Amino acid sequence: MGTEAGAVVLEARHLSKAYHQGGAVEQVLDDANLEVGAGRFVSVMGPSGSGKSTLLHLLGGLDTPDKGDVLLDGQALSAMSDDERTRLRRHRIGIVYQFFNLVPVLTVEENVALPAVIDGKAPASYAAKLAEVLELVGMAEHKGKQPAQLSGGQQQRAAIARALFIEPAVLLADEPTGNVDMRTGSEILALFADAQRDLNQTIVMVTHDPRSAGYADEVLLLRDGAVASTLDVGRATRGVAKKARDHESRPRAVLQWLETLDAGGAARRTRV
Amino acid sequence: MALRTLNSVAARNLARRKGRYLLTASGIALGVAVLFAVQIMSGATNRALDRAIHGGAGKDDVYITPVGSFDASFPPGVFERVQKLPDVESAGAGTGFRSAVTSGREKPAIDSRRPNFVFVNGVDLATDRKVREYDVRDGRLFAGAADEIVLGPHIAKTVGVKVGDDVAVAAPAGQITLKVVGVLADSGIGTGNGGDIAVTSIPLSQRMLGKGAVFTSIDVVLRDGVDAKKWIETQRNALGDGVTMQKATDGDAGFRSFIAAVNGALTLGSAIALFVGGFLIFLTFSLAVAERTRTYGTMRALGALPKQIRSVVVREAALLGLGSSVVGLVLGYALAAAAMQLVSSLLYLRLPGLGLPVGPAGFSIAIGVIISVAAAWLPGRRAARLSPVTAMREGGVADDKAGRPVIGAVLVGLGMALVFALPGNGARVFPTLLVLFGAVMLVPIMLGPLARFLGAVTRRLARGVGAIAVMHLVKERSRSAYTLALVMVVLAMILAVGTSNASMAHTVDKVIERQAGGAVQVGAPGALDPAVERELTAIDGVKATTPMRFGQLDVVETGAPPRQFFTMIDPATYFSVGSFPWVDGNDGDARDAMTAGSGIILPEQQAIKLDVKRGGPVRVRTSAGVKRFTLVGTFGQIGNFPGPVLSVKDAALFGAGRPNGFLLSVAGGRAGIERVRRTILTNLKPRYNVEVDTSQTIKDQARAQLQGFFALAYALLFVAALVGILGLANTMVVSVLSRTREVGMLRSTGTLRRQARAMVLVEASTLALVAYLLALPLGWLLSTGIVVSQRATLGFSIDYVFPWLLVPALVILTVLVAAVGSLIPARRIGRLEIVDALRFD
Ligand SMILES: Nc1ncnc2c1ncn2[C@@H]1O[C@H](COP(=O)(O)OP(=O)(O)OP(=O)(O)O)[C@@H](O)[C@H]1O
Ligand SMILES: [Mg+2]
Repeated sequence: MGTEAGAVVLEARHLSKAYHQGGAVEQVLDDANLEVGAGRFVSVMGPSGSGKSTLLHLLGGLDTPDKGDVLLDGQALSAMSDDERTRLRRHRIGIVYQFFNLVPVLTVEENVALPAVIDGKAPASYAAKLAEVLELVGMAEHKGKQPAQLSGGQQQRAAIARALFIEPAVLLADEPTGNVDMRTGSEILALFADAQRDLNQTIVMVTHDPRSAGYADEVLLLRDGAVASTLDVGRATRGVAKKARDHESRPRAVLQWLETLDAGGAARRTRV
Repeated sequence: MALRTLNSVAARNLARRKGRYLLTASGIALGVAVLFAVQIMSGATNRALDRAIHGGAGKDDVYITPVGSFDASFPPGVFERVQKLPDVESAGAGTGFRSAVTSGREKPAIDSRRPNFVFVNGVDLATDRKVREYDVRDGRLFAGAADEIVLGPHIAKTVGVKVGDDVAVAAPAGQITLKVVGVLADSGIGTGNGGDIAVTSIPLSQRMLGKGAVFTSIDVVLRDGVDAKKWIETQRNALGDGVTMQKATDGDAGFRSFIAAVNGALTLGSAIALFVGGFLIFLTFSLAVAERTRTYGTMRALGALPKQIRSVVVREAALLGLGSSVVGLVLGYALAAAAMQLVSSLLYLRLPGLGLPVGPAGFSIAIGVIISVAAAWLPGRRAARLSPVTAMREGGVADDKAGRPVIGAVLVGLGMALVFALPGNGARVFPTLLVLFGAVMLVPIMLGPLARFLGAVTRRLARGVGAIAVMHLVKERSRSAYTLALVMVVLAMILAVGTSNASMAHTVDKVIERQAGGAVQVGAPGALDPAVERELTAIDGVKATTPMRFGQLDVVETGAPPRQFFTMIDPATYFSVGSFPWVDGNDGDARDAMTAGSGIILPEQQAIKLDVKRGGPVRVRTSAGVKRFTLVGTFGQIGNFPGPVLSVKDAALFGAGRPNGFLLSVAGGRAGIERVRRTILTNLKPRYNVEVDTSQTIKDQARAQLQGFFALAYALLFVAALVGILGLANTMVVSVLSRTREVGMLRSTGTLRRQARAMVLVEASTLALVAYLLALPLGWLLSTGIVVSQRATLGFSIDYVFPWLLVPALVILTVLVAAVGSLIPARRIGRLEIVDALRFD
């Protein structure tokens, strides 16, 4: 990673983004701020349409904000050209979507090595790394298959392998478990947790599922275009035994947190 | 708009993907345009011929002429015998000859090559008016036997004379100056010979012909209800052997068959244009169905019947076909107008206006719609057969089966066999289409390996991601295969036409070189005074001369064309001046046999048609009855000159007297030829109105005419190439659209905009280059077929010459096609925003 522990890897400053449709303007993000420290696992929650995906796209340099800026390792994305941002994604940012992560005509192996392929690198130069990530996500035996021959969970593993293949400064994920059953979802989340623990991987994951959010160190709630509240999951579950903590208390803490916020939200609504 | 019925889905589909359907529509529009244009043109040329023949023929039923030479006339007493034949209502005799007129005001310029030929007809107005209409536009008809002449409307215009002017008429008995007293209207006799006609009294005409009181033609009007053909059969022998009888409306059969050959070639062109257009529709609908698999699946799940789904697809195609056919009509009309200009200047044929061709328009629209519907039928059926479950699953329809290679190979074989076996005109269309269909079916199995092979080079166009573009081709064969086939067909056609062009040009050069090598030809429209030969020999630089005589000949064998142009040579002198491009035979043997008499030399293709070998018998109608001649040799011939060749030893049998022209051999190379040409024009033209051709000018003219026809063929191919580009662009657009999310994903993984754009180019150029590789053998196959059938249609042997220069030239064209075809889709990709691409559904 090359980033010293505790340092801020990814930062969003005063992000604003509006969509214009016909005459109507929809202000999706309005002065959103966040900081992600090196090796942290941050989860972003929020109701449907609250702008989670929009935020993630801005963080990954896939889209540009109307106002504000995103900084990766202290470098402002807005100062970069389209090509520079693209190269940054190729080398420093790993992205996993809910579905359609893979190129249908390529094998798992080819899909995982895609960033290197795009770079025009010789296969020999990355063969070892490729084998390593495939092993890591448990896809080594399926490396020759095409996406259509894989289950939804296997497809997500391949996508995660590709994100990890470049040893990214940050791994961004948009509902990575949204398309799979609960058990497979848990396996995938475990992969994220492993990556954080073993590789000190910085992760930002969008989800609407409190159980998934419970895997993170920190949960952000996006509401009215900004980060409305933050939960430090570690602190909220301090003192709980490790085994119980992971599978019960962490999700419960997230749920409780959401309920209190929701009550506040309801209270605010009645006031208006 | 509320969705009333499922069928309005068709209209909405069309409205949604406007750009793509516009591409498809232009394909069918171009096809219909060519079809319509060809129909208009063949209609107009046929009408022009009919008008010329019927106008000239009037009420005339049977036209009787002397057998043989252009200088031949009836023996005495024939006219009287005709008048006494049964069922004859009236008969009129005339004396006519070919001639040329020049305005009496200006001296003929030495270098002018104005086509001022006329047919001078001496008639008896009292009898001939019962047969034909004599409408005078200006002035009056000629009076008595005065030195007066009435001109047809067209020749009056070309020569630029008015009533009251003098004209110089080149007559066999010498040049004579006459007063123009009238100009005919463009109707009745005025339309005869295309308006290049002159009428005068019989005594004057006989004086100009210089053979005494002879007749050269008799018109017969039969009693009502008598069939001309039957009458000719029964009366054929009543007049002896010295005459030919033909139905008046059968005139110019040779020219008609030439026009038919040109029209046949054009029909082939339009069939191919339509094939390519239909193909494009098939392609678009296949892609559309694949793309809308989920929509159709949803409709099926909601209870739509298979036939309702099919009807949506087919209606969409019908709508598209109708719209584009209408546009095609407008295009076709413009195309026809341009092409007619070209044809009429090439053939010196005046064509009437295009008119409002309602029939052809209806036919073209019907064909456009039928082909569109037929092309969409298979994709429609596929859509209807989708099970709702498969259709709604992510990924949609599975890849097609890998074509039908066995059927494909069989069709190609059968088509080629037919090309060689049925060398007719129209028959060529069917086997050619068979070969094309078969080749198309063979494409899918070859695409994978070839794309992999060529992809090793083309992938370099897009660093890194180029390989992915090649993989798309290798793995998604069905979409690419048919586009590829389209481009392949276009390239193969260009190659085939190029080959036939090269072969013809080569042959024309070779044949003319051997036949008229180094020589000068002197000719006059009518017969020439024998004294001309002495004057020619006296010219400085002329080494030798030989007289030539021409006429019309009936070879009485099955398969021989009626009344064909023949040439009569003098074997004593001919071979020291000229030769023949021998296929079987040589100068020495031919001279001996022709000197002995009763020998005939035939163009090779005619000998093949008559199934006669050297030394074999050929029966010919002569003024002394049908006689057996011996085949002395065969030679290659271009066009209808020289035709069957006879010896002057047999002149009496063909009424041949004075020569029609001379062939000269000249010393001093090009300069010598030019000197001789000028001397002849200065000394002889004023008196005999002779024309002088050198081998170079003949060669140039033949080549120019050939190039004119090939220009037409290349214009058709250009249209086909346009359609090919449209097809490729179409496929690339669909390819890009259907992979929008994939492109978004690739971009989000770090693919630069320009890399993504270059991927399109890699895919398109790989596709086009595979098409090129396959087009080489297909083009070669087609070209051998075309050359063989041209041999048969045109009646001369063509050496097969492969245009090697086209091979690299086509690579450039192919890459160009790929580049142009990628333009729109690449622009689309370049503009794509990643976020929108990821949301794309
Ligand atoms: N390209 C776009 N054009 C117009 N509106 C858009 C566009 N992208 C997003 N939106 C709107 O912005 C809002 C936020 O969208 P976004 O996808 O970020 O929400 P989300 O929080 O990810 O929702 P979900 O949980 O359903 O995925 C939505 O109301 C959406 O309709
Ligand atoms: Mg979202």
